[in-house]
Order: sequence, then C-alpha cells, then structure tokens
Amino acid sequence: MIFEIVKKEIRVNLTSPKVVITYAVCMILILAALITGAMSYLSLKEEAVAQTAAEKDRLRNVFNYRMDFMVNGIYLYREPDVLSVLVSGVEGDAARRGRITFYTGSNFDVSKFNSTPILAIFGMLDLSFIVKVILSLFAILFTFDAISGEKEQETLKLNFANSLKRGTFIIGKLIGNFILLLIPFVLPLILGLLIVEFTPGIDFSSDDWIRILLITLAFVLYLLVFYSMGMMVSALTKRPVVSFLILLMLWVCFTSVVPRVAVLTAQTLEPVPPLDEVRKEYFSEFGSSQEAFMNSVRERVEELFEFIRAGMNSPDGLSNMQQMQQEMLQGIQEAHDVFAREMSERGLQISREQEMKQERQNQLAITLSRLTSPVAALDFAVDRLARTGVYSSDEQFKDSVDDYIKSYTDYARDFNRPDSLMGGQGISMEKLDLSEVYPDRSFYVAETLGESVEASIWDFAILALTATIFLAVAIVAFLRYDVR
Amino acid sequence: MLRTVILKEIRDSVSTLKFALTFLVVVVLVISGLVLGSKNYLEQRGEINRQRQLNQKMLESQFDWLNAGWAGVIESKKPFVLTTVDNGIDNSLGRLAYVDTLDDARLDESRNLVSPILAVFGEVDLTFVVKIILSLFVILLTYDALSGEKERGTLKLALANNIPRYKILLGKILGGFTVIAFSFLLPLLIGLAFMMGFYNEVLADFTPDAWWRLLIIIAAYLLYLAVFFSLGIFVSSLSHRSSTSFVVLLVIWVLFVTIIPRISLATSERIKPYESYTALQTKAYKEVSEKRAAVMDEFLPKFIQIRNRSMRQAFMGGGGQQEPSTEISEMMTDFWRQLGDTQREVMDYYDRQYDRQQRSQIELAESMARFLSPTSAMSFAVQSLAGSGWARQREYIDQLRKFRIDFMNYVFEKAEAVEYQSMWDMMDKQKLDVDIGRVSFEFREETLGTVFSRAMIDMAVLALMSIVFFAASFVAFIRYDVR
Amino acid sequence: MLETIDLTKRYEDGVLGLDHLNLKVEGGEIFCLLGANGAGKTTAINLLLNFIEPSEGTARINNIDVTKDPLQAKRHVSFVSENVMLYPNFSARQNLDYFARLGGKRNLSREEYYNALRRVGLEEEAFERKLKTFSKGMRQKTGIAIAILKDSPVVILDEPTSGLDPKAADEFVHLLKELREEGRCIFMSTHDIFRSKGLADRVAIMKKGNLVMTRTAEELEHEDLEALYLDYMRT
Repeated sequence: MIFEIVKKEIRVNLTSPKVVITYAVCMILILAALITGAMSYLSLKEEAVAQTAAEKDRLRNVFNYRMDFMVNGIYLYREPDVLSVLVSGVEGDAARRGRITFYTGSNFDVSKFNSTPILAIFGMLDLSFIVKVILSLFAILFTFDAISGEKEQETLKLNFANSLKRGTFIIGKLIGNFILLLIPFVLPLILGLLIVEFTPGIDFSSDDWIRILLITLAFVLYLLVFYSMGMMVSALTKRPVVSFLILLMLWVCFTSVVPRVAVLTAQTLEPVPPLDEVRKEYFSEFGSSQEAFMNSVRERVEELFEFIRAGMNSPDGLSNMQQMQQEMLQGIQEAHDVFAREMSERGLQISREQEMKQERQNQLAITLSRLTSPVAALDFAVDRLARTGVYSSDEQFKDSVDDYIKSYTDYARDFNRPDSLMGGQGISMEKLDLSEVYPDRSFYVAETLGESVEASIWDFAILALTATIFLAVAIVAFLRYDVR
Repeated sequence: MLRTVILKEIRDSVSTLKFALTFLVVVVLVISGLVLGSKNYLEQRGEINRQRQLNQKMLESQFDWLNAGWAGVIESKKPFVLTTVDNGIDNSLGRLAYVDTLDDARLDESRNLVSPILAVFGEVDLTFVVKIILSLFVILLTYDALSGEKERGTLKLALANNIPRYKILLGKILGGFTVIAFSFLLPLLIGLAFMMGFYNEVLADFTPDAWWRLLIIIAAYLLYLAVFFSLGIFVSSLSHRSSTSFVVLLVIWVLFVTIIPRISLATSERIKPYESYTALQTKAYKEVSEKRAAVMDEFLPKFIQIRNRSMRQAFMGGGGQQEPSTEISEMMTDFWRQLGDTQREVMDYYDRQYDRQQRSQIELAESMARFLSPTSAMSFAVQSLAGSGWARQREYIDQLRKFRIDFMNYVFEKAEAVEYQSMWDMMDKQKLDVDIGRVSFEFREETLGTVFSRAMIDMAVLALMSIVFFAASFVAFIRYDVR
Repeated sequence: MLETIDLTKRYEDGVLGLDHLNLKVEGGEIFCLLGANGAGKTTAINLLLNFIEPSEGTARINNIDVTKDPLQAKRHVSFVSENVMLYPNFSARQNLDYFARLGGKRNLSREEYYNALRRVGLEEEAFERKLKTFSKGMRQKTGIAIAILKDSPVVILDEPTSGLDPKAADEFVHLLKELREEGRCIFMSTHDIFRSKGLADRVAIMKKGNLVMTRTAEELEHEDLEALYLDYMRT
C-alpha cells in the first residue's frame, strides 16, 4: 500500500507547473554554481602560486637590509582548498595572506572584501548557498500543502473512505515527496561534479571524495529538516495559505533572525576588548622597553669611551680599541636582539590573548546559533568538511603561520648583519639563504578528515535530531488530523 | 464607484491573517533593527573620542618622534548616522583606520571576520525588512489578486455591473498599494517614536541633510515595493490559477533577491577580470623594496660620516665640540621621509591602476544587476544615500590617505627640529608634546547632491519597472477571460 | 448492509450534531436522507465513514462496528463526495487506477477502467484527459466510476446530484437503480426531493440532528413529498 501512495505522490506532482519550474531552476543553478566555483578556485590557486613565486623572487633579490627583513617582514600565501568549488565558505572574508615581522609577530591583514568589496556588494553564489536558501524554500513549496492541500481538494476524504491506515498514508507521502525533492538536487550535483572532476587543474583525492559525500549527506539532512518542517506545519493546519505563511516566517527566522540573535547574545555574554586598545597597549610597552634598552646601550657606549680615552695613551691601546669597539658593538647587537625578541614574543602573547577572547566569543556564537538554526548548523558542518570555513581559513592558517614564525625568528636572530645604525664595520651585501627562510614545503598544514568529522559530527546530530522531531510531530499530527 | 472598489480592497486585505502576521513581524523587526543599528552607531561614535585621547597619550610615551611615526594612530571609522537604517555592506568593510609613517593608510578589521554567520541576507535592518519581508508580503497579497477573484466567482459578479474593467483594476491597485504602504510606514513611525524615546541622541545626530536622505530612502523603499506589487498584479492577470501565479512569483522573487545579484558578479568577473589587490601589492612591494634599498644606499655613507664624527667627538673629549644643531635630525627625518615617499609613490600608482580596473568591473556588475533585479537597484540607491556602501568607504580611504600625508608632515616637522650635539644624544628619550588636533582625522561627508545623483538612476529604474508592469497588467486584464 | 444504533454526536462547542439516530438499510435498497443544511446528514455520513468518532451509539457496515474496526468496515463501503475534485493532474483513468488500488483491486486492466467510465456515461475522449479540464458533471461521473469499480456491497453518496443538469441527473438515477438491482445497499443524502421520490425505496427527513419522518416508496405514492418536507421544515 505504501508503494501505491509513493507512486501516486510522485506522479501527481511530476507534471505540475510547480515542479517543472523548480526543477529547471535547480538544474541550471547547481550546474552554474559548480562550474563557477571551479573557475574561482582555479584563479585563486593560480594567484596564490604566483604570489608565492613573486615573494621568493623578491626575497632572493632585494633583501639585504636588516631593517626590511625585520620590520617589513615576509609574506606567506595560502592556496584555496579544492573543495571551495562546492562551498566557498568565508573565503571572501578570511585571510589568504599572512605577514610575519620580527617585532610584531604575525599579521593577517588581507580580507578579500576589503580589497574586493564587490563580493560584499553582491554575495557569492556557491552550491552551499543554493541549498541553504533556495532549495530550503523549494522544500517548503513542495510540502506546505501536502496535507492541507489534499484536505482542501477533498481527496483526503476519498482516500480514507478505504481500508487505509493513516500511518501508511503519511509515510507514503513523506517518502514520495522527499524523493521528488531530492531529484533536482542530486542529479545536477552528480553531473556537475563529474564535469568539475574532468576539468584540468582540478583533482579530487579519495579523501576529498569522502568529504564530498559527507557534505552531500549534510545537505540532504538539512533539506530533510525543512521538508519535515513543511510537512509538520501542513499536518497542523487546515488551510494551505496558513501553512505557507507560517513556514515562510519560520524560514526567514532561521536564515536571518535567529543567527543574528545568537551572535548578539554571544557578544553580550563574552565581550571582547577592541583591537585598537590591545595594539596600543603593545606600543606603549614597546616605547618604555625601548627606552630601557637605549639607556643600557648608552651606558655601555659611555663605558667604552671611558675605557678608550683611558687607554688612548698606551702603545697597544689602538689595537685594543678596535677590539673593544668590536666587542661593544657585538654586545649591543645581542642586547638589541634580546629586546626585539622579547617584544616579538610579547606581541605574539598579546595577540594570542586577544584571539583567545575572540575565540571564546565566536565559540559561544557558534554553539548558540548551531543549536537554534539549522542554517547555521549546516554552515559549520559543511565549511568544516570543505576546509573553507572560519576554522580552516582563519585559525588553521594562523596556527600554521605561527608555527612557521619559530623558524623565521630563529633564522632572523642568527641573521647577524652588523649594518645597523649603531655600529658595524660595513654593509654586507650578502643575500638571504632562502632555503632557510622560506622552505619549499607548504607551511600550511590542513586539517585531517578525522578531525573535520569529529568537529562537525554535532551538526549532523543536530540536523538529524531536528528532522526526526519534526517528522515525529508530523506523523502524530496526521494521525489525529480531521480529514473531512 | 472607484472609491467603493478601493475601500473593499483595503478592508479585504487588512482583515486577513497574512496582514496581521506580517504587520506584527514588521513592527518587531523594525524596532529591533533600529535598536541594533543605534547601539552599533553609538558604540562606534563613542569609541572615536576615547581613541583620540589614547592616541595622544600613546604617541607621547614613544621614544622619539620617529618612533611615534612608526607607532602611528588608530581610529575607528566615523559611522554615518543613517547606518542605523541601512547597514548595507558595512559589516564587510574595514572599520579601523591605521595611519603611520611606515605603511599605506588603510581601513582594516571588518565585522564579518569576527562573526561570519551574519551574511546570508545581510544585517537585520530596515532595508532587510523591506527587501525580504515586505516584498514577500506583497507577493502573498497580489498573487491571487485577479486569479483568486476569478476562482471565487467575485470577478464575474463585479463585472456584471456598470463599471469599466480598468476601474476595477485601478481600484485594486490603489487599494492594495495603500495597504502595503501603510504596513510599512506605520511601523516606521512607531520605530521613530521608539527612537525618540530611547535613542534620542541618535536622532540628535540627524542633520537636515540626513533627514532629506532618509526621505529619499523611504521613497526608494516604496518604489521597490511598487515593483513587486505591479509584478504580482501582472502575473496574476496572466494566469487563471492562483497556484501557478504563486509559484511563478516565488521563483521570480528568488531570482531577483538572491540569484541575479550574485550572477552579475560572476559574469562581470569573467568579462572584466583584473588582478587582485594582493597580486598588485606583491608587485608594488617588490618595487618598493628596490627603491628602499636605493635610499638606504644613498644614506648609509652619510650615517657613517656622522657616526665617525660622533665617535671622534667622543674620543677627543671636550675639544672640537659641535653646537647642538638640527643637522642629524634633519638627515634622519629626510631618510624616513624618502622611505615613506618611495612607498607612497609606488602604492599610489598601483592603487590608481587597481581602482580603474576594479571600478570598471563593479560598474559592469552593477549595471547588469540594477536593470535585472529591483532588489539590487534598491540596495544601491539606499546604500548611496545611507553611506553604507562602497562609495563612502572609498571616499573615506581617499581622505584618510590625504590625512596620512598631513600626519607624516607633522611628525617629520617635529622630528627634524630636534637639536643634537652628536649621534649619541639620540639615545636620550625625548619629551613629546603631541597636538591632538594634528593627529586626529576629520572626515567630510559627501553632499546630498553627490549622493542623490548617484542614487537617481536606480530610483529611475525602479520607477520604470513599476510603470511597465502596471501598464502590462492593464493590457492583460482588458483581455482577461473572466468566465 | 448499513446500520446505526442510537448514533449520537456532540461537538466540542456543545452543539448536538446527531441525536440518537436509528436506521437500517439492507442490500438491494436505496435510502435517501433529506434535510436542511446543518440538519445532520453530513454528520451521519462522517460517522459512518469513521471521519469522526461518535459520542454515543454505534455505526455498522455489514455488521462490522465502524469505530472498533474501521479498516475492516471500510473494505465494504465506497464513497462519493459532494464535490468530486480528485487529483487535478491525473487523468480520469489514472484517478480510477489509484483509488482502485487503494480499494484493494490491483490487477485491473485498462479496458476494465474504460468500461467503468463508459458505464457511467463519460465520453471516450475524456478518459485520458486531466481532471482539471472536467466539468462538474464529468467529475461526478468519474466519482461514481470509482465507487463502481470498488464493487462494494455498500455505497454512500453525499449530495450526488447537486449541480447536475437534468439529463446527467437522470443517467445518474438510472445507474443507482442498476446498482440496487445488483443487490447493493445505497445510502445517500440529498436536497433533490423530486428525484428522491422516483428513486428511493425509503425516504427520511432530518431536522436539527433528529430523524423526524420516514416514508416508504408506496406511502409516497399517495402523499406529496414536497409539501410534507416543507411542513416539517416550518415547524
């Protein structure tokens, strides 16, 4: 009996204008999103590779002044993840370039939106967006009159004038309509993925395919949530118009209002001091530390001059003087490096503290919105699996760069070019040893599959649980539904 | 006769559940949007004064003027008061201005990085309410405007009277739009009343210029709703079944609100690609490094000369002492000034190049979007007027760059006036007397004229769309099969 | 066979929809229930089909208690509603096919469907046309075809001739008589006093939930049904 109902659900809707129009729209959009995603990925990757080459080139040819290396630092570029073809995540907002200087640690100053506001103005159209916004709306469109509509057209009565269990009917409906909803999603997805896989320059590893599978599963669960919500409301109301209104409001709520409220709550509960205060704190400390350092240098210099003046009149005084001068300068150099190193560590510490506070706030915002909005839950799961979310683009990148800082600062500290203003016998024109400063290996360590899954498992659970609850309510509501 | 139809339309619409629900939701969201916007505005505005005090203190604690230049000043971007009404793309734009002698003036730290979830439909502000909620309400109101009456049989009934067809349609239009305007304007008034009660300081910041801008923004909102309204009536007059017109309108809504804006970007990126800012920066940076190396080459001999002379002075003891002079300061300042200038020249060149390319891409995307999607046209107009778009940001950065020049001049002026006897004197901490006026940035807002002329084309597009759809509905309705 | 024993329905708002209805209709009999709107005709039908639960009493189809064993009971009944709308995107045959399967008949051939549609007088070229293109008469006929195809001993109809033109209504009456000859039990509610007179074996009038009058066909030959009806309505 269930099979009859499933068949009928599919057949009845397959030729309706609603289905024809939405199928066409989905087909076009999903293919377009995947193809443009691929093109974006390729151009971003090309850019990162070119940037890295240019940076190495610059380091090879220009760096012979200490100040440049220490103060202006070096740039590190991150290549986009291949899965950004499906999920662009926060690629627009997050850092793709990190900068390391000796004195201020790591900086991440490039936001695609800042330099390409066009993305902010128009927004990104990726697969994730299509599922999140458009397909969820279609899910509601397919279900809002599933029950209330049959009541209105009096076929519900006719169905139950037969030997038909209510459970059978509702489950048949649930299955049939969900298949209808999945078709315009899965078919173009498979087609699109095949097209992308065969595009030169794009390669999905087996790890990537597993991630793609998981991402698809997340999308399906997400659609199930809105689908079951639609069924539920349809089984709780008598008139399709009412069910649609309610569902539309819920949809707007979940996509916009709830996440906003979650962020607001997090900001209130875990406030973060503004960045400018933190940086000023650093610069004030820098000022006074520098003062202390300069004083000690001055003392040493005075000492030396005293010694020299005293020894000026001795026969081997001159040669001693040279040596003493050398030693003094060496000493000043070392003291300077200690001071600079300390300030660098202090800078790192300060930014770390700031980041931790921000991290706590973000975590709270994430948790709150995940629990209250399926859109947020989907976002996090999918961004994490595609490694294009806040965690990967930001934290993982920053962690990788910070790990790299150690080798950079070690090298810089040993990089003893006595051409500072305070001393040095001459200016060394030696080039940097690039292999030490900018190793060929990729500094960026991406998250493993296990880690991604572990992090996103809660979102899967939340989506599944929400969908289950809605389905249960839908079924129970239908068991008591007035079919007249 | 016309009046009868209009009144019936109004009564019929207002008594529905959809009106009540929408009205409730609109009031709640308008008030929360205004509250949120006000809080953010006040917070950011308040920050600025505090930051200026801190800037002064921090600069004064620096070792010398050159160090002060490196430390620079940090100030929040001054928000425009109308961001309380429309947040635009402000969440994605940099909010912190960094000005120092080392690097380009820049606006960094956008909000989205901190809270990335915000970005599906943008901030929940007044524009959101109009863009999403009210446009959906309009669709719900109009999808069965004609096909519904046909299905209920009331259309035949109405036309069995001495009333011409066009009057029925006109009555529907006037009545319907009155309801829509009312469902927006009343909550707006309630919101403004709320502001007067609780956030009066924000209203106090409204210059006459700002009030005019707000008025035009409201006109843009109403034009936007008129487009959807006329579209709804038109589609309803084309189909005989409400369910079909409903699906069609919903799909069109999705297209207008979410798809077309994004597609225009993707398309114009293909048609007019340009090198990203980071790519240009890399090129620029390489050039800057080379030029800086050249400057270093030029100055090093001078440093060595001064250093040797200072060493000789120190060894000779009392004899041959120089009088304290600004020679050393001038030389050091000149060095840093040249470093700054080389960087600025290079960056200006690349910035101008970037600006040109970016502007042509944005303009192409905007043209496509504004003519194909009323949502884009409305967003552009409102963002221009509310100062929440890219235009004001660009203007801000431009003025900030000019300010950086003033800042650098101030710092260098002070630096080169310091008198030293020998190089060793540079190791003494200076007392810095910082004039807060010269290290604080004042932004001059764009005039109403500039802003309005930019918004005019978008408003004209909206008006044109409405007229076209209304005209089309009249034509369609005259030939509508009422049986 | 169809039977109600003290069948009562009290709604949540206190209104008495049906007050101790007692009737019995055997196979080979046509029973017409007359009454104003809200008199309780539809309530009786809803109770017989287990769309609502009775406050008191029982309803039985072929001796099976409809409330206690609805699934079994509904095996033996088919229903034609007042507004036959069916699935608009399905053709007549497709609608028949679906409901036949629901009714337990899975292996009917296309010809059998067509025969049922022919029997009810639907024009051939409409068999594969979508329901949304059908006039009211055509839809009514399709509804009856569904009932015929189920081949059930009991047939319940709710205002089946409302809105039909005289010819269609006549064909309909003819069809019902055929079904009666086949030994089925036919229970219908109607406003059509004129047709009930020539069709029903028994006629009953309901008023405010009560059965106020019953007449057999013979008795009606000597009485004016309309006058009787209006009389009862007035008091």
